[in-house]
Amino acid sequence: MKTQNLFVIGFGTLLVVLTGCKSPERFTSLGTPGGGSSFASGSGSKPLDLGTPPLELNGKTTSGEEVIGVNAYGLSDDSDLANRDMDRSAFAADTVYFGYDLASVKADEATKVARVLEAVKARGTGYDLLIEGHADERGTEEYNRALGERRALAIRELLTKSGLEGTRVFTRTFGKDQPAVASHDEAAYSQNRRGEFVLVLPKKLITTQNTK
Amino acid sequence: MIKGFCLLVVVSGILRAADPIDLGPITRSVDSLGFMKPIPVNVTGFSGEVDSVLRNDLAFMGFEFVSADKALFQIQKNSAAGVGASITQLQYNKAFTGGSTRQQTHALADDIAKTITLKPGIAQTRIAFKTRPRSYGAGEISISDYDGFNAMPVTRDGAICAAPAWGGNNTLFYMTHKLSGKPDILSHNLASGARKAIARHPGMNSSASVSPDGRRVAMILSKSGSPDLWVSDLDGGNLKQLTTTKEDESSPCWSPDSTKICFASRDSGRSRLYTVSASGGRMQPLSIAGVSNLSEPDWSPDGKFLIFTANMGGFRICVMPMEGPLRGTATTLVDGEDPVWAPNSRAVMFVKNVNNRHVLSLLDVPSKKTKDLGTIKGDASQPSWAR
Repeated sequence: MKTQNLFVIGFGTLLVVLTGCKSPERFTSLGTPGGGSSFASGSGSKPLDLGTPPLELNGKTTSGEEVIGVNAYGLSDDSDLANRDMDRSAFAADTVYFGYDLASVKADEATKVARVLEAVKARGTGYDLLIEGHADERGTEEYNRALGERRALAIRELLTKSGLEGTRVFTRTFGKDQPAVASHDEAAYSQNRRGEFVLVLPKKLITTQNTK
Repeated sequence: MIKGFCLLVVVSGILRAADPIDLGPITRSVDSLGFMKPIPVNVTGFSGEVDSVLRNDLAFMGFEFVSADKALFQIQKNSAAGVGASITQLQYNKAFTGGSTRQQTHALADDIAKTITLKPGIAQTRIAFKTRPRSYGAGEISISDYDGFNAMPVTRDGAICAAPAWGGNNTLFYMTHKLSGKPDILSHNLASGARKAIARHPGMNSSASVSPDGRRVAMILSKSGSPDLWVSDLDGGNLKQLTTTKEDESSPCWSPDSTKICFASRDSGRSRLYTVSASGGRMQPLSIAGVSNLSEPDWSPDGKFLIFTANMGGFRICVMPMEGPLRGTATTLVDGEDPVWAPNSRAVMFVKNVNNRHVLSLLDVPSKKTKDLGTIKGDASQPSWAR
């Protein structure tokens, strides 16, 4: 393991240590609840620094039970997605909208998927595609998080069935956390049940310095 | 004497084993769902913070406040240092010192509740939840006392954080977009501040739920091509896929014996609840009459009830007995979502929508009485109760 798993976030350690007092018989001294409940919180003075990835991806997990490989189960390794440059405007007009509580791509929406497919193919290797799945606010939070992912995966499936390499298509869900329109009626909901396409630009060439 | 206290349960022997105080026989009765009927008590002598904290605590641990002549137990302030009470009928006389007045009062409330109801106290427990300035966008994980006091942030990720779940040893599990811009699951030791990614697979990693025995984590991962139920060790190792549906699963919770997982799935079109063995096997639908579009189940720590959200033109909190003749019949309690049981299998924390702002609220399930946690600012949701 080249990276350490531990990230200490803040030093705002709050000790909930209650003073134990000598009490007369039949009287109870209040001990530390839960047998020692000191904890650190992110409210400390040090800024949060997550630094390098805590798990070694494409290798073994900390307990060595399972290899998380690229496409081990069909999805692409997205561990460096946060570090890639993205173009959100390239396919802004091609957002796919879904029916209420549905994750299937409607026929009239599939033309957008086809357009994106051709555009990504034309860009050639190095360019990847990120699909962001969203839901309206009428489902519960984790239900919608799963529904948003399912929508993104439904679009991904159309693309891969049409010949786009699975390794080039990433998905991420926002559930109902990022509505396109933040109001509470069907006009907003129909805009919020969606899959957005983001063009992921080629990885930057990194010039490494030989320090040896 | 109190009408309706017909089901006689002699508990004095049990109490005597653990406590030198001789309680004498206590009579109890239960309601149609099997919950203990509220125990009528008269509380006197307290004032200010102690009085309000004590009453609030007892109200969510199975007590109701009545006049002295109607009370089964007379709880009166004693003259000891700290916060203390005597209960004439029980020869109970205790006081709690150390900590803050609020903590002393919580300790007294828990002790009284444990002595009389034989259920675990809830007044000294903590909750974790998601907080944010408004009802959408990035949020953080916070913790507080069960009544919303002493709230403090756990994360400062400046990203979408969600779905906190308590594990053992002062550890929280939750989802954050901080690492890779999409949902990954971390464990966070609140004592040391150490954070570890335990699920950082391609696609979605969310909805962690730690087994009551503290050994396994259930979660929803999409790396197999759709959001499925998986289970792993606490560090993310020993990962096993439990469902393989094309549609999405969500919101796993555990049976009290840690052998089964209950979750929501859209496998049959609309969202229903299912159970599956934590070691693998076929997922079994739960047949629940009268409600539809179900999600967010939580299994009571005593194993007797399932509480969940029904989405029927608005979110409703529903409860269903897991045993006896009423298994399969849901009772709708209040409007709200994301219910989670207290350690006493009677109180529940849930999320109420107040003018499109999410507010945490306490619910006494048998009486349907609620109390909003007014001390928490902003939008608060997704409670997890440390139990």
